[in-house]
Amino acid sequence: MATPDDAAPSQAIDEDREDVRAAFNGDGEAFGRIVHRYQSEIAKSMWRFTRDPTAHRELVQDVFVNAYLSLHTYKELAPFSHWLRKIAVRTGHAYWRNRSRETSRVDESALRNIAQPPVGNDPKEAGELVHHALGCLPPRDRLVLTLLYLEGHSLEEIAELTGWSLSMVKVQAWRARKKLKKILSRMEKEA
Amino acid sequence: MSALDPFEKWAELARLEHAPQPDVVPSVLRDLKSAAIAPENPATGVWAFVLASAFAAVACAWLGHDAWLALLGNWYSWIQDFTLWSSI
Repeated sequence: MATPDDAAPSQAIDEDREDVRAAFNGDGEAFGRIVHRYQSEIAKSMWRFTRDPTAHRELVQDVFVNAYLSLHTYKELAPFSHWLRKIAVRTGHAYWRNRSRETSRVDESALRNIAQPPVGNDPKEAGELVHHALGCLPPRDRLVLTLLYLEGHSLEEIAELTGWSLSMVKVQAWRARKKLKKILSRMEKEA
Repeated sequence: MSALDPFEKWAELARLEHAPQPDVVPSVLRDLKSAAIAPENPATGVWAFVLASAFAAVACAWLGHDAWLALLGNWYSWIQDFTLWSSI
């Protein structure tokens, strides 16, 4: 039996469906409503990919432009928010892949700090440190650990978001954890 | 204690962080308008392919027909030359 709590998500799904169809037929305002509905969630997710406010804003914008261009691939089998999340993860991963071609500098002080348990209770500082610590890993390792630790997704969810097979996600997560562990152990010894 | 334990604690704390909330609605709509981009429609691609193929087939048929007529013309003139030829 449907409860009042169930009514709200199903109403949102219906609204999404209507707006997606209208946007697909060229209604810009309908797409504007979609952006307005999801920008907060996407902004939170994209903050894991960059700490630069300008780049972050551009990344959020790119997610919605990419979504608009790929509207024909949305099959309405799953809620629109799930599909949008996949686009966001793939946009973020592409951003890291492009940036990794540039020369990246490993933040040794962040690694040294993160090798010790947190003393304060500042989420901003923690976010900053975790972001810089994961920055020393290649994009694929970084993506799987970000989704696992910062977004709190299960391995199955990560497989769905990235489009990788479950066994590949497991192997990638294992390798990434091993690499990070090695770096952190070294830092712990140095400290 | 594993070397990953402190990291996991940091990550747990980082999850509570509030991300900046930019309003991208105007910029996204402006981007879509200025670039005049539209969602890709596979049906449009199929029709474009069908029309391009039909046009190519008509062009080939036209050129082929002309070439065939030119070949026949040469052949007929050669036959004519041959029949009119007489040894001195």
